Amino acid sequence: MPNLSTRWLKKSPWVYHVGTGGCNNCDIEILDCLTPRFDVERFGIKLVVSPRHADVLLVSGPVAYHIKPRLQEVYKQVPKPCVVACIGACACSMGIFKDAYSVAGPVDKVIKEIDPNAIFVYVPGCPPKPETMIMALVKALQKI
Amino acid sequence: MKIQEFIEILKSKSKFPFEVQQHSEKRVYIRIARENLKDIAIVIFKEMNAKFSIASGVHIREGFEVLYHFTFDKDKFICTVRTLAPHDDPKLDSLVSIIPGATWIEREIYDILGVQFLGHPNLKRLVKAEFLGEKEFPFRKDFNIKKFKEDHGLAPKISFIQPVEQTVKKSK
Amino acid sequence: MRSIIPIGPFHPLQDEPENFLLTVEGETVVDIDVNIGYIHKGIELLAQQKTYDQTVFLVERICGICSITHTVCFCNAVEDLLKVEIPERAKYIRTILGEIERIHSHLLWMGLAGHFIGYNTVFMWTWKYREPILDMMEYLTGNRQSCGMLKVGGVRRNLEDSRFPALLKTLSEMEPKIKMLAEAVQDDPVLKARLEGVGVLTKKDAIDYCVVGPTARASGVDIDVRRDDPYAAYPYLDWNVIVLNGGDVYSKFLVRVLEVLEAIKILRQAVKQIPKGDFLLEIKEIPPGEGIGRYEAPRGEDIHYVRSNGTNFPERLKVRAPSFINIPSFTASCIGQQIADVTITLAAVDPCYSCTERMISARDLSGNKKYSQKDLLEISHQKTLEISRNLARPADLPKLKKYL
Repeated sequence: MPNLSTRWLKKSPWVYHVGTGGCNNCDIEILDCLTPRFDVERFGIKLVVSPRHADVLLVSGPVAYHIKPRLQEVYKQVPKPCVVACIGACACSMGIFKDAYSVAGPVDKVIKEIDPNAIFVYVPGCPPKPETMIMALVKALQKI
Repeated sequence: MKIQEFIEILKSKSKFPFEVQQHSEKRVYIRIARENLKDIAIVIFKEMNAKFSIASGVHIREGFEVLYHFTFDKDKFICTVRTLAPHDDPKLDSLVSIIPGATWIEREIYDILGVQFLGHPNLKRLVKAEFLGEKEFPFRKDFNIKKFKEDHGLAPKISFIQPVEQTVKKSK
Repeated sequence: MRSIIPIGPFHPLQDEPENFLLTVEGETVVDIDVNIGYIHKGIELLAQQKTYDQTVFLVERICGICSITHTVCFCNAVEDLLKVEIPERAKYIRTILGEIERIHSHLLWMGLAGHFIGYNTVFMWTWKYREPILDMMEYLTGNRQSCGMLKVGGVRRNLEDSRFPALLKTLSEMEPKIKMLAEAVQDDPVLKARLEGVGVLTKKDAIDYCVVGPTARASGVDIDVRRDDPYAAYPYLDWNVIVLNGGDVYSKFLVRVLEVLEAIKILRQAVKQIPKGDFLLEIKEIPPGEGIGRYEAPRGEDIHYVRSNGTNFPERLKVRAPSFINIPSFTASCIGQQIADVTITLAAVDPCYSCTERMISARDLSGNKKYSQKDLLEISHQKTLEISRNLARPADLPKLKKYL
């Protein structure tokens, strides 16, 4: 019998959005998913205001040096099991900011420092289209 | 008012020497000594009603060059005032008492280049207070990005070359 | 009694991390502290390691919403250094892309502003109307935002003439909806009571703090780079600069609505007049020198300063995004406001933190009363509800409640 918490997770994942120093593009596309054209709330995907309520963390942007401890703090507050979705090329691999001097690393590297078993889903693109993000979430939930 | 007229008015109003370099019909650059910075700001900003756009700091061979860009919106040109703070004494007068909009940019130039602004009410580092050292200024030419990243644990120390060299030596 | 309210850094109000520190006495704000510097990535330093062609792609990623802004501004700066004129068709293409961007950026802000004061209907409406514009961007250039169209000396790719009729059709479908929105804003008594006289930035403060864009134009300062330092095809087109004298949030809202209508007008003319021919001027080398580029972004004047030393890499690139100079004016507009009005006042300048490359840090002072951002939003919504209760007749109340 599957774990009770993962069963809930499959029904209606609640997402929390963390911007870690991206260029705003992915953040706007995430908000776009909520508006009438895409309307992810009809699938039960809801943007929540606190990480403590979230099942999925949407992280966009390369992790800037100052935001690194805060991202780790947010990750600690999310109830486990949870999925971390790296939205956009910068979050997946730092993209164009690879050589910048105050960037700490891609999202997966930063989060694996505190939790080696974290589950990741990567959404490449600059910016990824809202359809891609919805598909990525669906795939992530199948993974659990 | 065209650039020529502007220069003449400036000459009649100011009592200090300056050097003019006209780039095009829309851009003019003025070089002044750093002692006269406040005077020229009063003339251009208060008396001639220019808009202060931004200042940019550059590290050049002679020292730290700071450029103040003033825009004349009705007359369609930009006047850039450039001044130099030498290496051994990187200090300039703060313009905040004349132009409140210059607060942040002076803090930023202090942050990235280490030029001190005398008389600034709140001269803290704007962007990177907690992670750069006292004497680390990223926009100085002697700033080494690779070394910086390794020191702060932002990039792992990778040594590709050493093992290769060792194997070559062994084969010899 | 004085207390301090930290806001942020991660909160649902805006999509970027940011943080404000308000000192309040009772309900009134007496001081606002702005400590910044968190999402700093060092783009200006990174540009010194990239060639001019690569830098165009880098400055595109300063801000996603103003991707055309920064690229055109950088190209303007390099072209000023070179003293070259770009082909006519390239000028028109830059104008078309820039105005499409202005429409979607203003609609985005209006939606967020509606959300802050508790009108989620406005949020959903405007974002729904924004979608066709983004579709048009994708149809014309290949991507919804960050299209990679610009290059020093012109544009990288041509726009096909056969695709313009679809753009015109979208615009004519959009125009009545925007007008409806403008009328709704002007007629609605609740919205007017909620926004009028809030967060006033006087003309003197606007000049002293050197604010730019809609923030300045709503305070009666008549500046617009498109007219004052013409670039692209704006000198050949007929359009107006919108200037209002209120200085409050209501004027800022209205300036943006009217600018969207003005942008539609510019787009129609540009599509009609666009000439055929070359769209890229080949540039072989960049001599030593310096150049300044200006651009009227949706949020205000953008300035890039480029210095070249004759090599393939820029020696120095300085980017001044409009928010950098608009944000310090919070000090002037927020003090004396009620807490409920602060969220909308802060949002009224349309702050963009990726552009500014920095953000604001919170200090935790023990023993002080704290509100979370959620509480602040609730306070803001309650005030709207109260005003609507006082204004509306009892019969209208259930109808109004539906929208709140």
